[in-house]
Amino acid sequence: MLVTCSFQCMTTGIELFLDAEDAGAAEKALAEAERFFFQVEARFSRFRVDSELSQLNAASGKTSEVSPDLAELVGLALAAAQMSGGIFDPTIIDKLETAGYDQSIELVRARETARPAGGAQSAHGNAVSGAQPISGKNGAFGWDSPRWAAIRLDPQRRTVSLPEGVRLDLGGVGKGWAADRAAELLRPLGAGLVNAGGDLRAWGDEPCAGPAQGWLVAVDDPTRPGTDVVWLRVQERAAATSSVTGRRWSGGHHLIDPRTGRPADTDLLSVTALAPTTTGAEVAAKVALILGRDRGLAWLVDRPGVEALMVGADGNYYGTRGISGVWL
Amino acid sequence: MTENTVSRRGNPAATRPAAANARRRGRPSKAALARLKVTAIVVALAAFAGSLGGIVALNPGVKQATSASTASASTGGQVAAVKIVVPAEPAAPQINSAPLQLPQPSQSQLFLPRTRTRGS
Repeated sequence: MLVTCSFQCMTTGIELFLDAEDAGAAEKALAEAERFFFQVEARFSRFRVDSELSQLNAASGKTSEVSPDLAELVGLALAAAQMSGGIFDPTIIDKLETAGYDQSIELVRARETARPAGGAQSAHGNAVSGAQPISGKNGAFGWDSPRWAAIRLDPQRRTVSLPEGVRLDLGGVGKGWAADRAAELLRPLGAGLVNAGGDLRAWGDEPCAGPAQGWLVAVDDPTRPGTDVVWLRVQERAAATSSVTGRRWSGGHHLIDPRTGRPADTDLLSVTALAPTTTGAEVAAKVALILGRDRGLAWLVDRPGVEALMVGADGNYYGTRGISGVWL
Repeated sequence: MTENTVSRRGNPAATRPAAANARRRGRPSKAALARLKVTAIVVALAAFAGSLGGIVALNPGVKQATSASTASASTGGQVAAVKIVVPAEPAAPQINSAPLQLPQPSQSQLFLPRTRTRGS
């Protein structure tokens, strides 16, 4: 029997699906997974002053002992930064704040409704509002020396040392990590799917599907939310979509390009990535979107087990060679 | 007479190999022409294989079975083989930046997507 559960958490909608023999056990497990999501939000949100992440950020310049979960998240964020050559950068909170994303997205939008924004608009529609391009040629892609590279994580002692003034934002990996962990929690009971605001992990086959068919997932059209671009079969892996039309306000969108310090000026509207883990899909989608079509595709082909579908600003669709093997 | 001594009788030029005579006359011998011809064929085959994206291995002196993907040619007692190996999957990363034609989601499918991935 398919048991489902949906709720709002992490400023997005979460959906849980579990196809289990024992409906009672499934409901209990879904309730536990729901509690887990709220715990993750409480512990790792940068918008909560009492969160473990905020406490770590407040202690920049020192070495802090952290929980095993936070150590794991910091490790994932730093690994993502490393493998993307710094395009994924978990230390750009100040740039997000400069662009206007200094509160949860609901509060940012509510503030704008009350007070129309008057930030100067750049040529591509992003308010620059004081943000200056980062200069320098030290990074892998030719921008300023990355601050994430100076963060020290000791997984054995579970300590994190943030350089003075550096703060971490785990928003780029947090939802995916939570989806992966919730999937581990639910997997023993049967086939299922965890969808954390579009970042999802699927295992087993959905009800009524044939064997080894996985779960059917619709890719949202970034220009017409709620309509489908295509359906993908997600089988024993994860999918995530990054879009410049999602968390958007008059100041731009939440995808900061660390090369400029501004909301990314990309020729893509959205990228949907498939990967072995939700965190991997989340990072792949975000990096490809920031890099743009050609550089994004070139970066993606070097990622084992990753396929992607891109919606271009020109109205066309692009993707990796293997993506046609999973659409319906 | 040592082993290295060559007995020459009559016109010394007559005992020289035809190739040497030809060289003396400034013309390539028939054997050299044949080798050139074969080399040209081998190079042409290699270029064709390269254009297919295959891997070309030149193995002079090694006789290999001729198959659909293997061509061999005799070169005056030696065998030059051009082995064209077309990999099943492209080994090198390839970028497909051409627009894709997506299938239209059919509402007549037995099961509709219950969930969706979107930017959030």
